[in-house]
Amino acid sequence: MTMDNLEKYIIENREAFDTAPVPQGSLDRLMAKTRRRPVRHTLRWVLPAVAAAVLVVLFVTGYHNNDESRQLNRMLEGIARSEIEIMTLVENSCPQDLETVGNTIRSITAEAIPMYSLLPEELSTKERRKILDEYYGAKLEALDRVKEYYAHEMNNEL
Amino acid sequence: MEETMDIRQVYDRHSRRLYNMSLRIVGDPSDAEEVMHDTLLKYHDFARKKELRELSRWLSSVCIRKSIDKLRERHRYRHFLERCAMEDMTEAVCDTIEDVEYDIGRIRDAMASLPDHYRLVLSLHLFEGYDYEEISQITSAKESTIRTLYMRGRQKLAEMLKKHDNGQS
Repeated sequence: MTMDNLEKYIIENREAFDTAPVPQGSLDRLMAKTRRRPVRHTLRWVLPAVAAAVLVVLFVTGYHNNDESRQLNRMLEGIARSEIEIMTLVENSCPQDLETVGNTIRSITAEAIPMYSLLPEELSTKERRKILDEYYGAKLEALDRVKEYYAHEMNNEL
Repeated sequence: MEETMDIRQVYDRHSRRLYNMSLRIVGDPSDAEEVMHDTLLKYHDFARKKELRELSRWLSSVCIRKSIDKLRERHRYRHFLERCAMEDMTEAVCDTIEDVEYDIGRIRDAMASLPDHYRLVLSLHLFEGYDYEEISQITSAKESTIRTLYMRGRQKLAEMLKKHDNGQS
Protein backbone atom coordinates (compact mmCIF):
# COMPACT_ATOMS: atom_id res chain seq x y z
CA MET A 1 0.00 0.00 0.00
CA THR A 2 1.20 3.54 -0.67
CA MET A 3 1.28 6.60 1.60
CA ASP A 4 -1.71 8.09 -0.23
CA ASN A 5 -3.65 4.90 0.39
CA LEU A 6 -2.82 5.05 4.10
CA GLU A 7 -4.12 8.63 4.34
CA LYS A 8 -7.23 7.71 2.36
CA TYR A 9 -7.80 4.69 4.58
CA ILE A 10 -7.64 6.81 7.74
CA ILE A 11 -9.87 9.55 6.33
CA GLU A 12 -12.47 7.04 5.17
CA ASN A 13 -12.49 5.23 8.51
CA ARG A 14 -12.22 8.17 10.91
CA GLU A 15 -15.13 7.16 13.10
CA ALA A 16 -13.89 3.59 13.44
CA PHE A 17 -10.86 4.91 15.33
CA ASP A 18 -13.02 6.33 18.15
CA THR A 19 -13.30 3.03 19.97
CA ALA A 20 -11.26 3.60 23.13
CA PRO A 21 -13.77 3.35 25.98
CA VAL A 22 -14.13 6.32 28.32
CA PRO A 23 -12.50 5.34 31.65
CA GLN A 24 -14.88 3.76 34.15
CA GLY A 25 -16.49 6.15 36.61
CA SER A 26 -15.76 9.13 34.39
CA LEU A 27 -19.32 10.48 34.53
CA ASP A 28 -19.30 10.34 38.34
CA ARG A 29 -16.00 12.21 38.43
CA LEU A 30 -17.41 14.80 36.04
CA MET A 31 -20.54 15.30 38.12
CA ALA A 32 -18.39 15.64 41.26
CA LYS A 33 -16.44 18.38 39.48
CA THR A 34 -19.65 20.23 38.61
CA ARG A 35 -20.54 20.25 42.32
CA ARG A 36 -17.09 21.50 43.30
CA ARG A 37 -17.12 24.41 40.81
CA PRO A 38 -16.31 27.64 42.62
CA VAL A 39 -19.01 30.26 43.07
CA ARG A 40 -18.86 32.65 40.16
CA HIS A 41 -16.85 35.73 40.92
CA THR A 42 -18.84 38.20 38.87
CA LEU A 43 -20.31 40.38 41.62
CA ARG A 44 -17.04 40.39 43.55
CA TRP A 45 -15.29 42.50 40.94
CA VAL A 46 -18.13 43.99 38.86
CA LEU A 47 -19.65 45.99 41.70
CA PRO A 48 -16.42 47.71 42.80
CA ALA A 49 -15.54 48.40 39.17
CA VAL A 50 -18.92 49.95 38.44
CA ALA A 51 -18.88 51.89 41.69
CA ALA A 52 -15.40 53.26 40.92
CA ALA A 53 -16.44 54.27 37.42
CA VAL A 54 -19.57 56.02 38.67
CA LEU A 55 -17.60 57.87 41.35
CA VAL A 56 -15.04 59.08 38.84
CA VAL A 57 -17.75 60.21 36.44
CA LEU A 58 -19.65 61.99 39.24
CA PHE A 59 -16.45 63.61 40.43
CA VAL A 60 -15.51 64.90 37.00
CA THR A 61 -19.05 65.97 36.15
CA GLY A 62 -19.37 67.80 39.43
CA TYR A 63 -16.37 69.99 38.71
CA HIS A 64 -16.70 70.64 35.00
CA ASN A 65 -19.90 70.85 33.13
CA ASN A 66 -18.66 71.50 29.64
CA ASP A 67 -17.61 69.75 26.43
CA GLU A 68 -14.29 68.74 27.92
CA SER A 69 -15.87 67.01 30.90
CA ARG A 70 -18.43 65.32 28.66
CA GLN A 71 -15.64 64.01 26.45
CA LEU A 72 -13.72 62.84 29.52
CA ASN A 73 -16.82 61.17 30.93
CA ARG A 74 -17.40 59.30 27.73
CA MET A 75 -13.84 57.99 27.72
CA LEU A 76 -13.79 57.03 31.39
CA GLU A 77 -17.14 55.29 31.02
CA GLY A 78 -15.76 53.50 27.96
CA ILE A 79 -12.74 52.31 29.93
CA ALA A 80 -14.91 51.11 32.84
CA ARG A 81 -17.26 49.33 30.44
CA SER A 82 -14.33 47.68 28.66
CA GLU A 83 -12.90 46.46 31.96
CA ILE A 84 -16.20 44.85 32.88
CA GLU A 85 -16.61 43.27 29.45
CA ILE A 86 -13.09 41.84 29.50
CA MET A 87 -13.44 40.38 32.99
CA THR A 88 -16.77 38.81 32.01
CA LEU A 89 -15.17 37.27 28.92
CA VAL A 90 -12.20 35.98 30.90
CA GLU A 91 -14.42 34.55 33.58
CA ASN A 92 -16.36 32.62 30.97
CA SER A 93 -13.47 31.53 28.79
CA CYS A 94 -10.32 31.25 30.92
CA PRO A 95 -11.22 31.72 34.61
CA GLN A 96 -7.70 30.63 35.55
CA ASP A 97 -6.44 33.83 33.88
CA LEU A 98 -8.64 36.19 35.96
CA GLU A 99 -5.86 37.36 38.23
CA THR A 100 -3.33 37.87 35.42
CA VAL A 101 -5.84 39.74 33.28
CA GLY A 102 -6.88 41.85 36.27
CA ASN A 103 -3.22 42.85 36.66
CA THR A 104 -2.93 43.60 32.95
CA ILE A 105 -6.01 45.80 33.05
CA ARG A 106 -4.75 47.63 36.10
CA SER A 107 -1.40 48.27 34.43
CA ILE A 108 -3.23 49.71 31.41
CA THR A 109 -5.71 51.86 33.29
CA ALA A 110 -3.90 52.81 36.51
CA GLU A 111 -3.23 56.50 37.03
CA ALA A 112 -1.41 57.54 40.22
CA ILE A 113 -2.65 61.05 39.52
CA PRO A 114 -5.35 61.32 36.86
CA MET A 115 -4.15 62.97 33.68
CA TYR A 116 -7.14 65.30 33.48
CA SER A 117 -6.13 66.84 36.82
CA LEU A 118 -2.53 67.39 35.67
CA LEU A 119 -3.23 69.45 32.59
CA PRO A 120 -2.14 73.07 33.03
CA GLU A 121 -4.88 75.66 32.97
CA GLU A 122 -2.91 77.66 30.39
CA LEU A 123 -3.66 75.07 27.71
CA SER A 124 -6.46 75.88 25.35
CA THR A 125 -9.60 73.75 25.47
CA LYS A 126 -8.72 72.34 22.08
CA GLU A 127 -5.25 71.29 23.27
CA ARG A 128 -6.61 69.80 26.48
CA ARG A 129 -9.19 67.78 24.58
CA LYS A 130 -6.57 66.54 22.12
CA ILE A 131 -4.26 65.38 24.93
CA LEU A 132 -7.08 63.65 26.80
CA ASP A 133 -8.32 62.06 23.61
CA GLU A 134 -4.90 60.61 22.80
CA TYR A 135 -4.11 59.59 26.37
CA TYR A 136 -7.36 57.80 27.22
CA GLY A 137 -7.83 56.68 23.60
CA ALA A 138 -4.59 54.68 23.82
CA LYS A 139 -5.85 52.98 27.00
CA LEU A 140 -9.16 52.15 25.33
CA GLU A 141 -7.35 50.73 22.32
CA ALA A 142 -5.17 48.52 24.52
CA LEU A 143 -8.28 47.28 26.37
CA ASP A 144 -9.97 46.56 23.03
CA ARG A 145 -7.06 44.34 22.05
CA VAL A 146 -7.28 42.37 25.28
CA LYS A 147 -11.04 42.09 24.79
CA GLU A 148 -10.64 40.91 21.21
CA TYR A 149 -8.23 38.18 22.30
CA TYR A 150 -10.55 36.79 24.96
CA ALA A 151 -13.64 37.11 22.76
CA HIS A 152 -11.83 34.87 20.31
CA GLU A 153 -10.83 32.47 23.05
CA MET A 154 -14.41 32.30 24.28
CA ASN A 155 -15.88 31.55 20.89
CA ASN A 156 -13.11 29.10 20.15
CA GLU A 157 -13.59 29.59 16.49
CA LEU A 158 -11.04 27.43 14.79
CA MET B 1 -32.53 22.15 20.84
CA GLU B 2 -29.09 20.88 21.74
CA GLU B 3 -28.05 24.05 23.54
CA THR B 4 -30.43 23.39 26.41
CA MET B 5 -29.20 19.86 27.02
CA ASP B 6 -28.25 18.78 30.50
CA ILE B 7 -24.56 18.03 30.98
CA ARG B 8 -25.38 14.32 31.40
CA GLN B 9 -27.08 14.25 28.02
CA VAL B 10 -24.13 16.00 26.41
CA TYR B 11 -21.85 13.50 28.14
CA ASP B 12 -23.86 10.55 26.83
CA ARG B 13 -23.76 11.85 23.29
CA HIS B 14 -20.27 13.28 23.02
CA SER B 15 -17.96 11.91 25.72
CA ARG B 16 -16.55 8.98 23.76
CA ARG B 17 -15.84 11.07 20.67
CA LEU B 18 -14.22 13.85 22.72
CA TYR B 19 -12.23 11.40 24.81
CA ASN B 20 -10.85 9.64 21.72
CA MET B 21 -10.13 12.94 20.02
CA SER B 22 -8.13 14.17 22.99
CA LEU B 23 -6.46 10.80 23.55
CA ARG B 24 -5.15 10.87 19.99
CA ILE B 25 -3.61 14.28 20.61
CA VAL B 26 -2.34 14.05 24.19
CA GLY B 27 -1.61 10.31 24.14
CA ASP B 28 -2.37 9.81 27.83
CA PRO B 29 -5.70 8.42 29.12
CA SER B 30 -5.87 10.49 32.30
CA ASP B 31 -4.95 13.71 30.46
CA ALA B 32 -7.54 12.88 27.80
CA GLU B 33 -10.21 12.32 30.45
CA GLU B 34 -9.34 15.63 32.09
CA VAL B 35 -9.57 17.44 28.75
CA MET B 36 -12.92 15.79 28.02
CA HIS B 37 -14.19 16.84 31.47
CA ASP B 38 -12.92 20.41 31.04
CA THR B 39 -14.66 20.62 27.67
CA LEU B 40 -17.98 19.47 29.13
CA LEU B 41 -17.55 21.76 32.15
CA LYS B 42 -17.08 24.67 29.78
CA TYR B 43 -20.38 23.73 28.19
CA HIS B 44 -21.90 23.43 31.66
CA ASP B 45 -20.58 26.83 32.78
CA PHE B 46 -21.12 28.87 29.74
CA ALA B 47 -21.95 27.44 26.36
CA ARG B 48 -25.49 26.35 27.03
CA LYS B 49 -26.40 29.92 27.82
CA LYS B 50 -25.85 30.98 24.26
CA GLU B 51 -27.26 29.66 21.07
CA LEU B 52 -25.09 26.94 19.67
CA ARG B 53 -26.06 25.90 16.20
CA GLU B 54 -23.34 23.34 15.95
CA LEU B 55 -22.76 21.91 19.40
CA SER B 56 -20.70 19.01 18.14
CA ARG B 57 -18.31 21.27 16.25
CA TRP B 58 -18.09 23.69 19.18
CA LEU B 59 -17.25 20.88 21.60
CA SER B 60 -14.61 19.53 19.19
CA SER B 61 -13.09 22.95 18.90
CA VAL B 62 -12.88 23.41 22.68
CA CYS B 63 -11.55 19.88 23.14
CA ILE B 64 -8.81 20.40 20.55
CA ARG B 65 -7.72 23.69 22.10
CA LYS B 66 -7.62 22.20 25.57
CA SER B 67 -5.67 19.19 24.29
CA ILE B 68 -3.13 21.51 22.69
CA ASP B 69 -2.90 23.44 25.97
CA LYS B 70 -2.16 20.15 27.70
CA LEU B 71 0.74 19.51 25.31
CA ARG B 72 1.98 23.06 25.88
CA GLU B 73 1.96 22.43 29.62
CA ARG B 74 3.86 19.20 29.07
CA HIS B 75 6.49 20.88 26.92
CA ARG B 76 6.49 24.04 29.07
CA TYR B 77 6.57 26.11 25.91
CA ARG B 78 3.71 27.69 23.97
CA HIS B 79 5.44 27.36 20.59
CA PHE B 80 6.68 23.82 21.13
CA LEU B 81 5.80 22.78 17.56
CA GLU B 82 8.33 25.20 16.07
CA ARG B 83 10.99 23.99 18.50
CA CYS B 84 10.27 20.29 17.84
CA ALA B 85 10.31 20.88 14.08
CA MET B 86 13.77 22.46 14.36
CA GLU B 87 15.10 19.67 16.57
CA ASP B 88 13.86 16.92 14.25
CA MET B 89 15.30 18.35 11.03
CA THR B 90 18.35 16.12 11.12
CA GLU B 91 16.57 12.91 11.98
CA ALA B 92 16.30 10.44 9.12
CA VAL B 93 12.95 8.77 8.61
CA CYS B 94 11.67 6.03 6.35
CA ASP B 95 10.25 7.41 3.11
CA THR B 96 8.09 4.56 1.95
CA ILE B 97 5.46 2.23 3.26
CA GLU B 98 5.37 -0.15 0.37
CA ASP B 99 4.43 -3.67 1.45
CA VAL B 100 3.32 -2.57 4.90
CA GLU B 101 0.09 -4.07 6.15
CA TYR B 102 -2.14 -1.97 8.35
CA ASP B 103 -5.53 -1.90 9.93
CA ILE B 104 -7.28 0.36 12.43
CA GLY B 105 -5.66 -1.24 15.48
CA ARG B 106 -2.14 -1.04 14.05
CA ILE B 107 -2.56 2.55 12.94
CA ARG B 108 -3.93 3.50 16.36
CA ASP B 109 -0.94 1.85 18.08
CA ALA B 110 1.51 3.48 15.70
CA MET B 111 -0.13 6.89 16.22
CA ALA B 112 0.10 6.43 19.99
CA SER B 113 3.84 5.81 19.79
CA LEU B 114 4.56 8.94 17.73
CA PRO B 115 6.16 11.97 19.42
CA ASP B 116 3.64 14.62 20.55
CA HIS B 117 4.31 17.09 17.74
CA TYR B 118 3.77 14.58 14.94
CA ARG B 119 0.75 13.07 16.66
CA LEU B 120 -0.86 16.50 17.03
CA VAL B 121 -0.42 17.51 13.40
CA LEU B 122 -1.45 14.11 12.01
CA SER B 123 -4.49 13.99 14.31
CA LEU B 124 -5.69 17.42 13.27
CA HIS B 125 -5.17 16.82 9.56
CA LEU B 126 -6.10 13.18 9.08
CA PHE B 127 -8.63 12.61 11.85
CA GLU B 128 -10.23 16.02 12.37
CA GLY B 129 -10.01 17.19 8.78
CA TYR B 130 -8.27 20.56 9.26
CA ASP B 131 -6.05 21.87 6.49
CA TYR B 132 -2.54 23.23 7.04
CA GLU B 133 -3.70 26.84 7.27
CA GLU B 134 -6.32 26.00 9.90
CA ILE B 135 -3.82 23.94 11.91
CA SER B 136 -1.41 26.84 11.74
CA GLN B 137 -4.08 29.15 13.21
CA ILE B 138 -5.07 26.70 15.93
CA THR B 139 -1.52 25.99 17.04
CA SER B 140 0.02 29.44 16.37
CA ALA B 141 2.76 27.73 14.37
CA LYS B 142 3.82 28.71 10.85
CA GLU B 143 2.03 26.96 8.00
CA SER B 144 5.39 25.85 6.59
CA THR B 145 6.21 24.24 9.96
CA ILE B 146 2.89 22.39 9.94
CA ARG B 147 3.50 21.17 6.41
CA THR B 148 6.98 19.94 7.34
CA LEU B 149 5.75 18.26 10.51
CA TYR B 150 2.94 16.58 8.60
CA MET B 151 5.23 15.20 5.87
CA ARG B 152 7.74 13.94 8.41
CA GLY B 153 5.01 12.74 10.75
CA ARG B 154 3.37 10.55 8.17
CA GLN B 155 6.77 9.09 7.26
CA LYS B 156 7.38 8.43 10.92
CA LEU B 157 3.97 6.77 11.11
CA ALA B 158 4.95 4.54 8.19
CA GLU B 159 8.17 3.68 10.00
CA MET B 160 6.21 2.71 13.11
CA LEU B 161 3.87 0.56 11.03
CA LYS B 162 6.82 -1.12 9.38
CA LYS B 163 8.43 -1.83 12.76
CA HIS B 164 5.15 -3.27 13.94
CA ASP B 165 4.97 -5.35 10.77
CA ASN B 166 8.51 -6.70 11.20
CA GLY B 167 7.82 -7.42 14.85
CA GLN B 168 4.82 -9.50 13.89
CA SER B 169 6.60 -11.55 11.21
